[in-house]
Amino acid sequence: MTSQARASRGPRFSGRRLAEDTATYVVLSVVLLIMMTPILWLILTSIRPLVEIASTRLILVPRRLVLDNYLAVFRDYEMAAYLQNTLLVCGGVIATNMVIGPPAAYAMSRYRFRGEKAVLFGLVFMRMIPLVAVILPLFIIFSTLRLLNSYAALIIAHTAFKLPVTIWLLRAFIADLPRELDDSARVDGASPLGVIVRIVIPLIKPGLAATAVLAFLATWNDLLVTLVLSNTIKTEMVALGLTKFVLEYGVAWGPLTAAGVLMFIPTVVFVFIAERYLVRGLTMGAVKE
Amino acid sequence: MAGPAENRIIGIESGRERVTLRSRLDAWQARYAPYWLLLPALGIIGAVLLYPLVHALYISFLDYKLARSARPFVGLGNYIEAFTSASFGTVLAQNIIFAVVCILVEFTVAMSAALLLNRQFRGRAIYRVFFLLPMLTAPVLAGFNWRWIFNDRFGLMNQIFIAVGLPPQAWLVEPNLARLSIVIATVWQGIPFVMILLLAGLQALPQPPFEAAIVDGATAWQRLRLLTLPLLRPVIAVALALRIIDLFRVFDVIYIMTLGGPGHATELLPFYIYRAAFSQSQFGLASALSWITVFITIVLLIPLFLNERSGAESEKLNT
Repeated sequence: MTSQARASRGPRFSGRRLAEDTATYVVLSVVLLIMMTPILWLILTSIRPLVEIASTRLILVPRRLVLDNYLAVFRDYEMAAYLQNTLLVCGGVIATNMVIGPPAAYAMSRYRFRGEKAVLFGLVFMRMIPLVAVILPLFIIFSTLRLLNSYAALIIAHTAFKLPVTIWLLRAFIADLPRELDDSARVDGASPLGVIVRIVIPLIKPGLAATAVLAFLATWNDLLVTLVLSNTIKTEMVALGLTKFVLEYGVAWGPLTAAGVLMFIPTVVFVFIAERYLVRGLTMGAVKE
Repeated sequence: MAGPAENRIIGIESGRERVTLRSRLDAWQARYAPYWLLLPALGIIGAVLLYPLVHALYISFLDYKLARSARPFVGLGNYIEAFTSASFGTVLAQNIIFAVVCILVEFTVAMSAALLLNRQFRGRAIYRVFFLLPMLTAPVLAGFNWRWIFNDRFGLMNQIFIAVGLPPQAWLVEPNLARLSIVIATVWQGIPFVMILLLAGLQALPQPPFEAAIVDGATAWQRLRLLTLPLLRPVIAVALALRIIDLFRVFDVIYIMTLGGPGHATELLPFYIYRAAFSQSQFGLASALSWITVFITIVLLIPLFLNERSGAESEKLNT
């Protein structure tokens, strides 16, 4: 019926339809180009020779390709250490979230219990509070425990910051599973933990992947936690590393943009992987896709 | 001869006992299972988020300076100091104006883009994915991107200005231009966020009312104003509430681009709090400021919860 309706509408509207489509492409392309400009300019700057970086004249395409900046970030700056520290912390945060998150999410989606509402609201609240309000007392606590400048402090802090989103997102994925699946397993005498490990986790692998990606990106992108909790090269993460390209006599834009491109690569990769699940993750399930 | 029978009886009895023990264990498990499943998560959230937050509330009543061991109780002193200081009023007002300006720009651009992306056309998925990139760019990197573009000597913006014959501007030095630069860097990351939410909402809208409206000869503008926007209201409310809350959490972009300057011209609450704590070592005052910000967040969360509740009710009505 719809195809019929479309067919009958077709001849009258096709000319207009074409014009509308063209307009859509033009407008979206212009908006997209503006939105992409900072990223394109970052990439272009990172491969320019120094004379072009320090130019007041607009030069769109670099006259020659230069990779010195990429060598410099490893040779003259501590980019390798920043990347290594960040990957270690991210790995730790993903691991803890993947172990602690699913049981909590399962409890939230499959049980009715006293205090459920409070936990739900609490998780949303914890996702929304300004981090700076938590990071000041955390600084005091971790310095009393002598845990400043340790991977442990960074992993513990980030784990807690990411858990609310992890639980909410996994909860939505578990809610999508047919209840009979785990109910029948529970009737057969499996413990809740057994059901989670053997039945739920294999079925929500895409959800786990999306959750891991979001936890990774949030940790990878973070500045405030590493800024407050670490001040030695042993634990500084890549976002803080970028600020080290701001030198006393000015900003080393060539190496900085190269480091920026390196930092941006995982973002691009993961956006393409997890794009489908982003809405749920970013809104804590408030908007379904 | 009695042996097997005896064994059988014992077997049955012990089996029965096992059943009752088992069912008791099951009942116990069923009753407390959600709690111990949640325990590790709530434990770590409680220790790393909730406890520090409460601890900050306690500190906010003390004259707490990091270098000094005496931390006398000052009651509401820090709150009074916050509200009577000229700079806090400026920063608070500035953050509110900043949030309003950003949300207006973000909503307008995002709504337009979402309406266009909601049309059926070839290559839509590609546009969508690229639109998302700014949102997931590290805020630090976004800050540096725009700091470089707004660089007064070699920045792209001034290169374009010179190319078209306009005088170059001191983007991050002149207060209003610095504010504009901060807004641009922020909305650059906010537009995709609002857009993807609105687009998800648009795609979930029921089709019949729109088909009926087309049959009735409603114009595109009428359909948008009388159908799309009212039907989309819950999603718009969520998107705006989430985003406004985030606009009171902006830190990285300020830290990278202006450090709140010139003067306090681009200073927002999180950076102001950070500076009170780590530059001036005023942890008591900073904690009071933190709690004022937490309170603002709670107020902003109220529409979100009301929306959630009405959403849950309508869901129940549907089933």
